[in-house]
Amino acid sequence: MDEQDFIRLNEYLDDELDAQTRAALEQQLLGDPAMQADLDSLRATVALLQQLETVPVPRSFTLDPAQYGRKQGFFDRLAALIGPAPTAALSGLAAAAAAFVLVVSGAFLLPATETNSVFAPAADTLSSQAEESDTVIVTQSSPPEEDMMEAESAEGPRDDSLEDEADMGAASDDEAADEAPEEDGEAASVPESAEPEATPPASVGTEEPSIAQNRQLTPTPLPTPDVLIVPDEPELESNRILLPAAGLVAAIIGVIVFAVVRQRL
Amino acid sequence: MDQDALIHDAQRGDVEAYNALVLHYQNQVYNVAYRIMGDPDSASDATQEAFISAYKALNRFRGGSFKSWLLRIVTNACYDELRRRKRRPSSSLEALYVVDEAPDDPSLSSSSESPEHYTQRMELQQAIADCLQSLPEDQRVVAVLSDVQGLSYNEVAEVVGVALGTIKSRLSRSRAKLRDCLQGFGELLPAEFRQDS
Repeated sequence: MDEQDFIRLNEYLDDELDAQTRAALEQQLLGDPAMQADLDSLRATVALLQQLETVPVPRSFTLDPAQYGRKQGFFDRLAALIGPAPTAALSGLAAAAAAFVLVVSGAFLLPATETNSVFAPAADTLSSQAEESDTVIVTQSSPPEEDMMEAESAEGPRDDSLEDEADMGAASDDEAADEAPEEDGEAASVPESAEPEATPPASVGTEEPSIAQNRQLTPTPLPTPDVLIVPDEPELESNRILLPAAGLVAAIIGVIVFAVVRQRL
Repeated sequence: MDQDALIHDAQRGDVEAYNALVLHYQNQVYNVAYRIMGDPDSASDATQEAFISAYKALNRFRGGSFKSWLLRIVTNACYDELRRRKRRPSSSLEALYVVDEAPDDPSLSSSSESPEHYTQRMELQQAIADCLQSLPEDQRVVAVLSDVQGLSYNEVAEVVGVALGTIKSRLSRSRAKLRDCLQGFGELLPAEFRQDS
């Protein structure tokens, strides 16, 4: 007898066969004494197993309410006070409040990322002051790590840095004149904090000339423009990520608060 | 017992409601653990662990058979304990000297039963239990759930969490091995079993 026949015998014994298969097997059993003997031995084995007596539990397995019971908190008392009927209304109210918070936070945060309103006035101020002080602003994207300190100083309080840089430029006019030929035709006087390999200007200093334009300015004899290196606002780039992330975090917190309130109620 | 109401209350943290469920099912849960583990201490540990785990996971119970859900948890607790035993096999001195004692059940020693008959009955019980313990774990679990506890094939499949065909195969193999094992205790077996074998 193969395994499939033995499985079918067990199914027959446990009344798990459909009527047609059961009838066919009974016909087979009539002409197969060995199969009938297997069935009888299986039946006796199952009967023995069913004789195994139930063992009484040695102790109670109930849990200690002091250890596992949930303490009555504010929401429990509130739910008991208001009863089950207004629970749905309160849940809906909580959902509406959560949605309101999400919409308001989204409306507040998203425009700031779109218009760069935080940084645009600073850039305009820089441009106008640069024009007044005859300073050329060169944008620099991704300053090298070793120059991050200087770059950060350039990104500090815009007015102060502008003045500082202008002072530096004025103080180093003579030096710049001497160093200019050594910098492959770099006409502008560049403080040491600036890299000559500055990339073309990015979005912020929209009205400032590019490096190529600066190089075209090289032959200009007087006045020698002071070049102010303004990094390409890495803070702005990071805020484009951080502000939507903050909105997302606010949304998640709102959903969690709503879920907790709903669960408690 | 309004089981659904008790489950609902227990899901909200009502320990007393949960304890009512425990009292209702602890006998069956413990016996499943006892037949799988083979000793009362391990069975107690597995049962207690199962009821604690079930309470903590009660919010994940989404209806269906609560009994099957509980039996699944205790079966998994037994599997975990058996795996721990395999990783860290240990035997205490106490275990070496412990003689298996008959369960302290008044029904097992009724006054109407002769001492000789009682002894034969206990020996047969021990023989069946020994044969069960000789089975591989997977087959033992299926035999306990199906033949000792009387669950249907579908219920066993739900508890064990495997396909119905796998249950049929495991049950078939376990019964064949149990039959061969029990035939070794010929003098203890009922007359019908000796004749059939």
